[in-house]
Amino acid sequence: MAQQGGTVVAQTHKYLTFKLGPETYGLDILRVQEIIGMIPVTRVPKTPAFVRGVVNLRGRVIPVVDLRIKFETGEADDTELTCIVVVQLAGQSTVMGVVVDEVSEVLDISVDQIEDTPDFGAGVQTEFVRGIANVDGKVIMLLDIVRVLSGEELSVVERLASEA
Amino acid sequence: MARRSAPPTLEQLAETLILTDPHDADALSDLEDIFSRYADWAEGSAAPEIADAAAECAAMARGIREAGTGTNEAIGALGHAFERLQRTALAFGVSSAEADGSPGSDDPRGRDATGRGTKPAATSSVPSESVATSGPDDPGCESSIVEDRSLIADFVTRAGELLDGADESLVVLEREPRRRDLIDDVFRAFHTLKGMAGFLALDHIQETAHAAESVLDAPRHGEGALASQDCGTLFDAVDEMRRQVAGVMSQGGPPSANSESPEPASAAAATVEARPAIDSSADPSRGHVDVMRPTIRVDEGRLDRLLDAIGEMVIAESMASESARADAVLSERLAQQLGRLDKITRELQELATSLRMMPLSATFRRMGRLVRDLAYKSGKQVELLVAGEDTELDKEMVDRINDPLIHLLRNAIDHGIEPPDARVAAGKHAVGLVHLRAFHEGGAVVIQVIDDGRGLDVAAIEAKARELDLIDPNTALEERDALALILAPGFSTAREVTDVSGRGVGMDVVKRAVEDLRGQIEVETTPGKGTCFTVRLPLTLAIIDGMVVRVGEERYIIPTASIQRSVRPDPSTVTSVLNRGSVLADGDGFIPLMHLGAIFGTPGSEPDPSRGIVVVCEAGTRRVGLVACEILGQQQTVIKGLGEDLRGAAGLAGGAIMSDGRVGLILDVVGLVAQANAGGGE
Repeated sequence: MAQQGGTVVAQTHKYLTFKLGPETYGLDILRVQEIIGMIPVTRVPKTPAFVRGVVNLRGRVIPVVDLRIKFETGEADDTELTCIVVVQLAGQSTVMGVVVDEVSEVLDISVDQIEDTPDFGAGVQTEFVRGIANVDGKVIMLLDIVRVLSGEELSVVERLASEA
Repeated sequence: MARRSAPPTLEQLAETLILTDPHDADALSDLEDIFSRYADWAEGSAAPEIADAAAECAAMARGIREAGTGTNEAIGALGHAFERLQRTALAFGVSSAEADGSPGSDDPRGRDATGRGTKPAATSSVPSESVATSGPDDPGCESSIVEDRSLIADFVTRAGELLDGADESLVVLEREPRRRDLIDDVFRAFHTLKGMAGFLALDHIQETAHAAESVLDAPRHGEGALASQDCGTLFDAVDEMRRQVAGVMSQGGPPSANSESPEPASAAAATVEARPAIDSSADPSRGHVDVMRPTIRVDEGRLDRLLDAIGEMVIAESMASESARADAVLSERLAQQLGRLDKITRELQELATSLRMMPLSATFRRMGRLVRDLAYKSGKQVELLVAGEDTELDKEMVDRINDPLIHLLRNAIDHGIEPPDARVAAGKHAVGLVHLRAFHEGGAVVIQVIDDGRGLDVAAIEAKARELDLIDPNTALEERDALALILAPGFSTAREVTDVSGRGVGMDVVKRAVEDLRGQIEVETTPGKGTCFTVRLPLTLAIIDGMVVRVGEERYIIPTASIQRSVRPDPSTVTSVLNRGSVLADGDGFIPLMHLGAIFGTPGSEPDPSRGIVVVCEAGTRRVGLVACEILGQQQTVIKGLGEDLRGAAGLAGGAIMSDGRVGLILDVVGLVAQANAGGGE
């Protein structure tokens, strides 16, 4: 239901907004399980660079990806504001952590505030941006978190997340 | 009840009979005594026919004792006499007589609540338990199932699982008839089913399974593909076995009805009788628990979450205490409270770990009967000596070790122990000894099956392996490697296919099952003296013993089970080979070195082995030296999965929560070596 929200007129959804470098992104709140402060991440060898590794989430081992590396927004050092957004990929069984620079706020964004992703021409991948919202002059890119990771990358993360 | 003590139950008689050592005069006298007591009770409270049958058993037990030694025939005859006794008792509806005569035979509901899990003892639940014992022994079809209901229920559950698995594989095989792994899977399923059915004397199932196995012989040996009509035959065979298994299950119902109809029993007794049958048909897996102490079944996922949470609590507690201690002005009160918390946490953790543990005794008890029957069938004289049945293991491991143990015992009796005359000719006692024992050793549970038979013929094994093309024709085999071959798929030195064992499956099933449990199996043999199979298992599947090593800034855990030793190598013993790798000179050979830092791309790792530490590990049949910076210590850790594919790809067995709450990665040494070889030394 949440995914198809865009087609229903004047419907609003809650989005968790966060910062990656200078840009602001939004994430469907229904996908967010919790937000935890930055904790030590154990690197897993032979995984793509944007996979930061695995962390201990109350006894579960879950994979953590760093969208700053994935989106090439400039590799920022972790600060006190850096945190991990724990999102559900498919059902409750597969969860992963997403490292973001700063969590901003939860916004109600109505469908008419969302515009289709502009075409930046070939070479710029935009399929993981579900749309761009304009809220009080701020531009928020709404992420389709499942699509953020391409098939192959997702399978790496899912493999890390399964059995966790 | 006239007698002071409650009469023995049929089940107690059966157990005593199975556990009686035919050379032990005291035990035989006990056996005689218990049969006499049963006869006395039957004389007074039941039918004289039952008393006669029991008296006959008692007389046979006395006969064996007086003869000084129990021959196979005598023990076998006693077993048959006991089966007659059971049938007689059933035919006379002794169940109801017992229920009436037993002290305080309360209403069946009471039993349902309390008696169900109670091990049969002299309580009110006993009579109904003994009905359950004779329940499956349908007098109409003369089947000789005298084991308790739990075995049948267990069998039905397992058979269902095996057939489901076979079905699944067959469906794929129909499309891809060349999948050798699936052919082997199906074969193993049939083979295991055959073994279990044979054990329970379910001859019709055994035959069907055997026939189904034979269909697979051709594709297994040579052709490699399963013909489509054979596939149909196998589907039919699976269906047939399902019907047969269902038949076994329903047989558990009718007999109690049968025994009611000829001789109407009291209403209470009839209810008592009917109940176990209903119970087990509704949920076959229950039967397994029925003979144990009272239990509560808990969803496994919930239990795991509890263990996870407790694990986290232990870490949080130790970190809190640590921080408090670092505080210089720690109040005395806080220190006391923390101390108390620490104690409670520890106790809770121990308790949590023990939740999943159960003793091996139930498994071992079944083996007594198995060995007796196998020995009888193969015309050999075998005595089983059991030790350490109180050793506890994770519930799942106890369940899963059952089949491998059956295979090992089967193997010991069929291939190990010689026929009596051959033994005497070799200067041994006519009765072969098979030891089945379990004990703890260094945080692991060791189960050994030792026979004093002819031992393994290493030369024959090697010849057979060459014939089967299992080894490179140009290499010479060491004895150790040759012995390992008997655990390879498709290998058997038995010349003929017998009912008891032998088609070459079996030992590889054992090996796979043990490895699935993260255990190891070893074979030692002395020609003419016997063979010892040692199975080493971790206490639980969830916990791994590991050595924590530092590699650069990272920590990895090497499973202790695969470590041989660790050395700080002298620079002169490390040689670079073609500038691509290095080896460590060790005695008369070389151990290839693997730099964990280089393999994992770890920042800040030490490239020079002589300044780090080399952990020599066993990877399958090979040795390899893992180079790390230093050893941080030993730790027991709970394994957390990382996912199937990733594990193999990166040479990791899983993750583990370390004492500081961080995640450490557990190495899979075998996978690491395989992957390094495949990757051409990345």
